Amino acid sequence: VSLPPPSRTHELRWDSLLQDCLDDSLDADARAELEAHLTGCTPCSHRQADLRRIDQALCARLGHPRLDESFDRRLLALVDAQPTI
Amino acid sequence: MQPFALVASPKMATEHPDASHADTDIHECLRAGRYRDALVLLLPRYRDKVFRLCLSMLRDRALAEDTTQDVFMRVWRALPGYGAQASLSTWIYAISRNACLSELRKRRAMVSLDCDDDEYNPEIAALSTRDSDDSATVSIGQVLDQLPERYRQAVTLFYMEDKSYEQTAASLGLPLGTVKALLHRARKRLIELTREPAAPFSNTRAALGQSAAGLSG
Repeated sequence: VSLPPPSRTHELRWDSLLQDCLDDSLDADARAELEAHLTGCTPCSHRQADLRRIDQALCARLGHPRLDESFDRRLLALVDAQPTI
Repeated sequence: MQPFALVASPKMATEHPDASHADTDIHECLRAGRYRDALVLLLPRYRDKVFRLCLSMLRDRALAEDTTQDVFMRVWRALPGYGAQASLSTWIYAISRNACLSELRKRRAMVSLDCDDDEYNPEIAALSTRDSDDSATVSIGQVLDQLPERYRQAVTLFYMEDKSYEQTAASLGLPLGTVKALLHRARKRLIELTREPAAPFSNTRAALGQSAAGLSG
């Protein structure tokens, strides 16, 4: 069953809250308001599922890359080989 | 490609809340002319942040590592001239962005000299090679590649930085609200791209689902 697309106003109002919720940056009142809305709004529930899927895929793909700590030793060796500044 | 700011703008950057306090010891070393000690202190504090910024701009791990080294050599040489007009973090991120932009310019020049095929894009080629053994990862990499550069850079760095708006804004030298807007638009666009049935990566949505399911299981 295809659902009618949400209106632009509706999307603008709730999309930002859904994204803030995803990033855990909603205060308690806004979160409660969003949760109440989601119980009765199927397009927003689908939107939340889409956002979560994208979020999880991005977390898995991008992670938290780090440099090896040997980087510091190599860099300091390079620095020590330079003329004094 | 639309680069972000070419030079540092202290008013534009949003600092990490703890950055100025954490760097007090480095400032003391600088005032005393102990530049090597200052470098030893700032390396563990900024090494990974600079690396992630380089990676988000250059999209190639080996090149990002080399450029990170180049950034810290530039920082080392410039330490005696650092006048604290901008905070240390703002200054270091500006040097990092400039080093990345120089590297991108150099690579563009190399491509135009070395390759007759106008269609060739070394960044896309690098992505395809890197992802060739993981179909779910290929999909998100490919849809990321379709984003406008500003969106791609903001969303990439945000996820590399453990979803920190503040660190992403500081690294890119952009206001926090701008980063948030870019990120929201990027995720909206990613949803659209994974929905478009005629897109060349039409199985992306299913692959994203698999990737997410793999995480939760």
